[in-house]
Amino acid sequence: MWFNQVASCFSALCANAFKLTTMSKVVGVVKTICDPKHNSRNIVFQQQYYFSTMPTVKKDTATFTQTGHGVYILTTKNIYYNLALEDWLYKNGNFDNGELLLLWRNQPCIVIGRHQNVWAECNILDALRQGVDIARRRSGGGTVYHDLGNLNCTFFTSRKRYNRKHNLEVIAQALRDKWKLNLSVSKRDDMLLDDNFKISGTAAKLGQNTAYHHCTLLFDVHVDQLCTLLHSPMKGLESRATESTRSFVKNLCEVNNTINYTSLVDCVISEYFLAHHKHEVTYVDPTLEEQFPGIGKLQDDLRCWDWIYGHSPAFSLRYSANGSLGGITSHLMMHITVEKGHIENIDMELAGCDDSYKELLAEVCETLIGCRFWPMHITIALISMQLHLNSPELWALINKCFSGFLEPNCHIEQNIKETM
Amino acid sequence: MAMLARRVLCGKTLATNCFKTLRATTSNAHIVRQQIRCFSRGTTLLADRKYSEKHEWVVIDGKIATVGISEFAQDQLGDIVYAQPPEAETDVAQDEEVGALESVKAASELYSPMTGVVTEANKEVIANPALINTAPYEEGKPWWLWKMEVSKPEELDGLMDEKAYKKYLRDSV
Repeated sequence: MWFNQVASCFSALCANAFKLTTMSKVVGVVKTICDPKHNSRNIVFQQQYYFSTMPTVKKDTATFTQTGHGVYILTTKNIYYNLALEDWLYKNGNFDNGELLLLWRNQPCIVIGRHQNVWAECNILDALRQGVDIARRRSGGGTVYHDLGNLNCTFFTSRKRYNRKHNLEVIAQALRDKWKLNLSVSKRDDMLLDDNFKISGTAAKLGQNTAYHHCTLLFDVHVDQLCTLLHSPMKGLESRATESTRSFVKNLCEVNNTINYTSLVDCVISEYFLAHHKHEVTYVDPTLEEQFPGIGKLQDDLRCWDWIYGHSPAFSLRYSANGSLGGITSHLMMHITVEKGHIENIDMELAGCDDSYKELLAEVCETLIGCRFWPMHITIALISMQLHLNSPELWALINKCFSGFLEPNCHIEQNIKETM
Repeated sequence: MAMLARRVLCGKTLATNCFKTLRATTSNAHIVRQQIRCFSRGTTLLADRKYSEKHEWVVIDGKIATVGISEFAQDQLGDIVYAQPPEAETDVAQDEEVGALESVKAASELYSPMTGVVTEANKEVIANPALINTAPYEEGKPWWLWKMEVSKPEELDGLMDEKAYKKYLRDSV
């Protein structure tokens, strides 16, 4: 059994949206072909569709109007660029007369919800050591792990036509028809296999005019990684951030080994088009600035420390450890409060040692207040007061208290784009 | 605290029980709810309230505007689990995205109904976002999200009064 993390329940938000339509499968619909020349690096469909080259973007105003139903298959596997394209379409797109489905996947990464505490949701340091990206999306919901065995579907609609139950039904129906899977959509808008295993998590962002709903589809995800990385090693953490709900997950390929990226994309697209009677697939590269003016900046914003880590709602941590100070076994307790990614307050209490250490400890607290809550920054602050030289024992005890958090690791720093 | 408890209790007892039934039986439950609420003692206060098309309400006292979301909006959102109103000292422009409310799995953007500088975010609501759903409209005191000093008071004229907002809900939503 494996765990995935997802968000908690969802109530009748889309009560005003259009009614759920019953999907009816039209047999034998194979439309005229226009094979894309730039298809070689992508997938070969069993079904054949119209392919268009590029979306229409008015470059002077960077606005974009979708008419009819379209599907974009994103050609980058970079989480920040893929989320940036969602941002770009949300900001610049008009979906009053059309809808868009984005299909995309990423290299291994952890994606947390907008209002979550990144420290509570995953093992940050392990992830960064392994080169797994960590991203905070703009939508709500809980934390998910992505890799190439996970297909993401984003449904762009006008705010009025936002209906995620309908979207999930389109996907569920597609999978039921093709692979006879026992799928259901739960009250919490999770897609369940055999009423028990979650194969898809959902989140959404709603603006005044535009809304999008995105969901995951686990077909061949590395579940060991998922389980390990979505487990925070931090104890004693308290915050008002939205928490993920853990669920049992299962890969679709375990149920039917013909389910892979190609067959899944093909299946979802064909059902989406059956539902909407329009056949147009476009390969889109979100890294193209000339195609999506300003997308580079949106990507930078998603990648910056202040958004991923600093945006975590205020939280507090309690640590304690025992260690020897001047030959006496002492007990150190720490209570840290972090706001906007920086240490707002820190209390340290030492029991069972010489008073001289307590003075030093007061100095440590003073140094750390205002410091960014990040291993390198805390370490540098302590080294700058020469704690490691003045009192190696206290340095060791504080480090122990932080459970190894303080070890400077240049590799980690390289993965973070700083905005100091 | 006593006042808080009474307010919540009042909102619940007056509204919840009877409206639950109404909501189940009519598709225009929100309109019925608002009509019924006109008979409550909050009527006079509601008259001073102005609404934006994005479902934020605003009440002006001198230069200070108090902002919240409408009963309709909270009803549509469902159980709110996280509130992120704009912080104090933030410059906000009319119709600009300034924060968000999360009702499970969906982040809904908050828009400022007026231009100005935020003076205070409601800490009580931030600590307990579910309060927004208790919206004791019967007392004319739905939970506010932030207060701001307005720099363009004339923008108020472009907002809808209670009656116009109800019509807007009937016609366009």
